[in-house]
Amino acid sequence: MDPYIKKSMDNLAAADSLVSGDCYEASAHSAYYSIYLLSKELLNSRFCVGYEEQKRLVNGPKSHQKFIKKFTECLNTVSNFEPNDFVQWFYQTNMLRNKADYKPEKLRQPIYEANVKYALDFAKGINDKFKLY
Amino acid sequence: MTAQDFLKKTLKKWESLFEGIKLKYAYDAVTEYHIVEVKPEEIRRGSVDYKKAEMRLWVDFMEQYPDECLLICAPSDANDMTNILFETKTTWSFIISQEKVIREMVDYTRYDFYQVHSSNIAEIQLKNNSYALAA
Repeated sequence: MDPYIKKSMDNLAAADSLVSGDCYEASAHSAYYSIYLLSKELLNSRFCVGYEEQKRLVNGPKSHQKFIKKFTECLNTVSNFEPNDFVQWFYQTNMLRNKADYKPEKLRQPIYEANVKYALDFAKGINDKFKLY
Repeated sequence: MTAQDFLKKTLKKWESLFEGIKLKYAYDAVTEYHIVEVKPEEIRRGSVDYKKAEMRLWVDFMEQYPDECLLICAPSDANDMTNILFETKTTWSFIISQEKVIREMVDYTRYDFYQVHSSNIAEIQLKNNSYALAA
């Protein structure tokens, strides 16, 4: 199995385990990275955006925004495919990761559970379409 | 044009393009996210034209404001919408003056009668949904 796919799946399992164990903020990180790492493999293997080019995208402030932009551009080239949900889930989990880091108040567990589901739906949807694993 | 003005301009256009759409736009300064909540789902994920417009907004926004983050989604408790910058005036309610029109449109076996405000206005809440029809 490709290392990034394995890392993605490990992060997804971690996110699920952490949210069940009341480690909500940590689950937010794992959920986001599950999506990010799977997207790295997707861009590399299906859209010829190599890891070196990806490294240049994620260099500097707000770096992941540039990566999500590249991800969106690539998915928009696929015919008969609506990437809306995938872009939404990417941003949604990214925002919750930021919130987990910087917002002092605790959010409720269902929010983090829904967040893990976004990551799960993302992985399933991407694999259904692109057959990464 | 600032990112906020760009979004407000686009959302005003959406309000006229998509009848019945309800939009709420807020900026969360802590996460540095522009958040646009969209309902109902019949439009958000049921309208092909809306989905195209949504993707066009994302692409245009990413191009013009590469350092800004935009989330467009259904209403969610995860979103901090306290700093609202734009909200559509369209509500779930629409005024119907003729009772017979209500009877033609509403299957009373499916709806609970929620509240009657006046002889001209009635709000009916759908079972299992959060719609309200005002007539």
